[in-house]
Amino acid sequence: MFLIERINWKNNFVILLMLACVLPFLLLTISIPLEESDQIVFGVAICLVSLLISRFFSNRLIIIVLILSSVTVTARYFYWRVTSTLGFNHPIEYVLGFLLLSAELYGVTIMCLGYFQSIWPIKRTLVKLPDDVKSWPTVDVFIPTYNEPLSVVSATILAAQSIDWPLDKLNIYLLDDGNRAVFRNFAKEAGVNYLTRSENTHAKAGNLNAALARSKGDYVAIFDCDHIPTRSFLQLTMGWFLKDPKLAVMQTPHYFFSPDPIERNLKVHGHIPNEGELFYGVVQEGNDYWNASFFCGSCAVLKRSALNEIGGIAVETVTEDAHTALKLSRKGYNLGYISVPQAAGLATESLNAHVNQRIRWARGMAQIFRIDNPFFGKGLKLSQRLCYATAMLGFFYSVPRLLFLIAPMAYLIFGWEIYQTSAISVFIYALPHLFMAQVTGHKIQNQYRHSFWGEIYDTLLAPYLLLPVLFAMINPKAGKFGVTRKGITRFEKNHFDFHIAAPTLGLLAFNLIGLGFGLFHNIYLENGNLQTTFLNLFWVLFNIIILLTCLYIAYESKELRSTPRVKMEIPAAIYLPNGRTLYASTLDFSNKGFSLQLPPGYELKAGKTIDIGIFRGLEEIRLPFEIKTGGNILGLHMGDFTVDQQRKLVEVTFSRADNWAQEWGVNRKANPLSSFKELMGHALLNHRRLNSSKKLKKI
Amino acid sequence: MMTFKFYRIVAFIQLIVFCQLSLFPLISMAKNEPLNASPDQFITVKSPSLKDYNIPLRLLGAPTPISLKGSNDQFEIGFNFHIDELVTKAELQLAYSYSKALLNELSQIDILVNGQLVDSLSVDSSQGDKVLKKTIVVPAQLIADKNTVKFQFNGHYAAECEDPNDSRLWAIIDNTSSLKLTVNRFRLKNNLNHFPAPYIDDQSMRRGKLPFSFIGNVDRNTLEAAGLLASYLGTSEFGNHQSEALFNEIPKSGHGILFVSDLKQLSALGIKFPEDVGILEIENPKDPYGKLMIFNSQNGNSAKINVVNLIKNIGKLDTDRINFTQAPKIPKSEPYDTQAWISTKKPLKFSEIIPSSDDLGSSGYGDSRIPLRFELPPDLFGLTYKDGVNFNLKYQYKVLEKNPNAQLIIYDEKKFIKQIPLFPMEKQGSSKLVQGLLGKNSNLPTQIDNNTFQSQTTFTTALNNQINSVQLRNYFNYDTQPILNCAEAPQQSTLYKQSIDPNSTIDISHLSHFIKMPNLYAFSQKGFPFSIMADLSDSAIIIPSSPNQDEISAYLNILGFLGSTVKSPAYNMSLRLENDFKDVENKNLIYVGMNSDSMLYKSWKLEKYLSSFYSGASQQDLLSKMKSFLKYFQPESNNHSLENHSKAAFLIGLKSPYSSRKSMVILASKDSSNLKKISEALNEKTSKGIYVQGSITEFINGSINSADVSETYYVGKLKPFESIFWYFKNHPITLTGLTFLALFLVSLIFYFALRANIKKRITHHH
Repeated sequence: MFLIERINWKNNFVILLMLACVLPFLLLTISIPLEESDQIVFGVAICLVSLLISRFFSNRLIIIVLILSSVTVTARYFYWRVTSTLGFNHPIEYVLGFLLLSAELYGVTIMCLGYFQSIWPIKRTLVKLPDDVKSWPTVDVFIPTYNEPLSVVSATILAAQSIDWPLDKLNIYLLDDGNRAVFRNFAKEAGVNYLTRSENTHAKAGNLNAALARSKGDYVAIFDCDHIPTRSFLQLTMGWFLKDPKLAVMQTPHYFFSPDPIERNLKVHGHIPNEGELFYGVVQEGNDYWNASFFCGSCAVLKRSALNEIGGIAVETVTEDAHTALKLSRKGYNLGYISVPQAAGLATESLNAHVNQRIRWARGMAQIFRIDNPFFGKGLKLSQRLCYATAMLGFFYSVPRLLFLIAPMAYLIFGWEIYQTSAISVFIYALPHLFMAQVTGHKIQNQYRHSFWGEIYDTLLAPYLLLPVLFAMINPKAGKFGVTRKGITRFEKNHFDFHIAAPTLGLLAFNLIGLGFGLFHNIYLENGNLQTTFLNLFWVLFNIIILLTCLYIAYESKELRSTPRVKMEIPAAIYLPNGRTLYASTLDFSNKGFSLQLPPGYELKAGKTIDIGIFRGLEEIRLPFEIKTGGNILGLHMGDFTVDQQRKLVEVTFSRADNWAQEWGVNRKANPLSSFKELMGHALLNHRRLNSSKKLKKI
Repeated sequence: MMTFKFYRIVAFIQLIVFCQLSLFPLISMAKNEPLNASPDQFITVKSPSLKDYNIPLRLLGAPTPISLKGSNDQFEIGFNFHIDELVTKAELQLAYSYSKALLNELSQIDILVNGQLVDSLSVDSSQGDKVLKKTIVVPAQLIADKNTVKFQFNGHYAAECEDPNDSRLWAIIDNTSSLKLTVNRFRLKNNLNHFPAPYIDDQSMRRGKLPFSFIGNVDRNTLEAAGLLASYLGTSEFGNHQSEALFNEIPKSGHGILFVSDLKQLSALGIKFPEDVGILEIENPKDPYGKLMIFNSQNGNSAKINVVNLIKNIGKLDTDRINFTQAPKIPKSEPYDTQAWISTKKPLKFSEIIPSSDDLGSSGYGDSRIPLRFELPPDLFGLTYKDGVNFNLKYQYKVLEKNPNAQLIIYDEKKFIKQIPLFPMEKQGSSKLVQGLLGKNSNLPTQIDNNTFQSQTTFTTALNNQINSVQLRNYFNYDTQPILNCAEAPQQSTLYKQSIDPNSTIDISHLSHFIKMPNLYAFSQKGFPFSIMADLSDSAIIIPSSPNQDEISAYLNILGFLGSTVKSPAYNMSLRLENDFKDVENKNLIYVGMNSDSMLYKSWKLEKYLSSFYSGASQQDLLSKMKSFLKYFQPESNNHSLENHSKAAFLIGLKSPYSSRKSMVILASKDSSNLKKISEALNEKTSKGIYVQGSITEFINGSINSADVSETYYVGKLKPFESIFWYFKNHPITLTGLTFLALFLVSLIFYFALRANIKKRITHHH
């Protein structure tokens, strides 16, 4: 360690000298042919040492070591793959073999880009605002809506009004593309600006641009109509703008208090991190290091002058947010991301909606890749190009994913050897590569994504993304913006979504045919090479497990509440009609009401209306509620509250500053092995096999 | 059916076990081959001029019974004669049997001697499946120096419609059938022109010992001359002969070589030798049919000069005596230019290696094999399993019908290499495009004429340990299905002809020479590493200061053995007596006849190797290393030495103590008469089917035991790139460790560079 301190790591000459010594050696490591036994020793040693250091050390340097080890082992695998496994005999083997190779190449490229992207996630903290409140800039809050019910939007509007910011410097705009009278009245009642427009062109982007033209605040905060901001939102974000005059966007995470359909149907919400947690937990922070974090359409503050310079929000693609960020980047603006949830919303409610949302994202990214490719054009640093490209290329995974799902059948059914080598060689070269990718991925993503669960998300969506992505690549202009509908779907009972499951069923059937044919033709009738058959059968089995889990997702669980409940324990006072006061704690609440846990021994009957006082610090808000369900645990329903009363309720509940940050990033950790076991458990249609399924909670 | 599944599961378990086993070095196992008896017992000497031979066919090139199959098959054996022998009576005593399905009038076995039909074995189907005996008299005038006997089988089971490969068509000639000859010897004229006849001959008929008789003092120069002559005789096409040293006596019968330093002693033995003659051939005074070749070794190196000139002037000396005074100029050998293996300099055409085109072709009524054998230097080094001997095989085949199942299957000695359809399916439009794009893979056969096709293929045979040759088995499998519906079309049996083009090439020029030593297998098979220089210019032989007859016999036999492997006389070999051991420290050394009294016995620490040989310790074994480390502290209780293993002879391979790149081979025994066991084994290249191998081999009581006990070292030179790879290939742990170190270093560079950037990123524009 002493030696490390002595070296001048900023001296280019020293570094070049070291690289000159070390890189040729690493090239040798990648290309040296070893005896099978030595290759096993080498692979096992690399994997074991990596595993051990990842167990016992946890710092950035170790992550970099792991990343480089993984890349080295992968490069060794690929060197072998390209030099030793491509001796095909048949034209069709050539075609399929090179397709498989390209698919692997894609996977490895994405893996390396992913390493690059998340090599050093930045943890931004609060930058204090100046004491002089007069020097604070003016902020417009935009809440665009189109067809969502008022019950969803109202909480957002009221919470926005509660944001801690000088009243004369904060303007709330409800942007209603639906042009609904109820909304107009509510806006009037609540005291926020209500904007509509005559032509609903360019969907959300157009809506925002129209509002930009009719407002004049220095900064614009944008919330999707179901994202309820906390009061500390601007306090946390605005300081960075004052510190960095070139900062154009400050994004905060999208936090969802309801499970997405995958989580809900697998019943893993809160146990297994979802896609969003990976993106906002690691990817965005990593992007931020390279000054390439994304604007995600909501829960963000943008600088008006910067937006004006690029002509407002981008309208060319269906993912206006990412494209806007790219355009700002090209103009030399900085992008920031702060990983503290300052708003919470609803996740997509049905699998159908979820799939459609991802299709839109994938199509939008493909569009950007076509019309404003980050690799070309002015204004970007190489690191930014790579980060943007990663985000876009990432959505092309459907092609290789589908190939992997059908590739083993080439051998099992048709006998084409599209991977020309012995099964043992595959094991001893590919296993270290896959193993290291898992270990390193786990170390980087840690509690933000459990190993192998990405397979589920990817496999489920792959058949749907294939065509939209390809079409968007061919004709980026086609296609409309589809609004993700929220707050309206209800499932009265469990049902199986055949429409969504159809491609998965098809793939599953194909894999099962492969399995059966392989067992019968290759093993029972003794055709083909036994080892190769076993290898392909293992592959098919893995596919089948993943596909079965995907099928399980398509089996939609019933969802009776129209608004989901959020677990939250807040002190509350119950003012009984007899004058006594009981002190209790809330259990969870929705925007219609909440449930209360009475002290032991106390029970109340349903039907009455009582006053409840809810505390935020020393402040108490006292409101009348109707008792819907009695007993020791009360189900309380709010009556016809005035807008003021509703606002007060929102202030003590949804817009509490510490609501979501507490739960952020404190997921249960699971090592790749236990994660794999859990995944296997799901494939057998038993979701109760999760190990200690308690979410960690910081108190 | 359950058993099939079970078998599959077992196979899978075996696969897993194999994975684990392959972590450990494989244990090589000795092959067991049938023993080769000495032919001496088949000769009866009736009188000096009259001899009877009764030789079983198994010694004449039919190690197994001759099996003749199909409607047309043949087998050929050969035998040779001395130029001083005349056959007066010859007969074949045959034991044979044939299928009882054969048709009497259409089937027979013809016997041809030197191409002439001698007799036919007619077929009587009632005698089918029984062992029959017949004696065939061969006209004596047909027998010449070199002779062939051909058995030609014509078999038919039906008059018109039959399958030429039908299993009913067979005949067997037992290999205990014998060739009986009565031979009249005549006196050959004394003439150096005959040399090397009559001193060596075809060993299939008899294997005598060739005496080397030394009259007077035996000095180094004389022995060098004798050694050179022995190595020349070893190069004979008939293989090496055993030599036997005699002191001051002449052979009691037969031929012999004499080196004379004391003419008086010679005349006391009844031979007059003119003072000024260098070489003289006379009749053996004790045997009128024997010849003696006498070399004058009175002064200095005159004997050697005469030997060299004799070798250089074979067939040109029409006299019985001659004296040479000047040695001819002999060009020095280049490394690896011996005849023992194919040239390492450039790709070679088959025609340069296999002169006879007969060996490259075959014909028959169905499947056919063309075996080819190429000798290789034993020290070829392949970096990966893909490096090896490169072949470009061009082949032709003549067939009547195109059978899509027909294929050429190429095997190495042990393993399958390649399988090529002889008539690949015609490719359709689009795949033709693919084929065109792929270029090199489009090796469709070209049609030369109606029924003849030509094609080529390239492949590489891997190099393993202990590889001395490549044996290609080119198996043309036509997948012929007999058409026995003879009513429709008259059956026409197709004669298939196939051949390997002599312009096919074999290439080892890209391979480096690098081999782990000691390797007595390479020594016993190819004389390696001494054979690297064919003239033995890089080798020195050490013998005891005052050698006895057995030691000199062993010395001559070693040279004969080396001559037989390199096919070149040892012109530049150095000989040293142990007390005069100098100037040769930088050469490869052979010590012939070491015993416990030898000066070098102690300094070369032979007992150490013997001890580890008998304690079963091997150099690689960690446990035994620890054991020997512990033993270091306690007095050695059962020390092994040549003394307490007096019945054994040892062949020991070592790294030269004088030069790290040179090797040493020691022939040692307490009793020098044991040394001939080594000579015999080397002569046969095997001892009763067991190969000499490892670093030490014990010859005792007719059995041999080998082990690997001495320090390993490497001989040869790698290309710089290869040597780096080689080092890390052998040190996978070092490779892994250094890889981590390198990764850690690069990580540090990244770490500090990235950390510098993060400060910029968070505190920018402040």
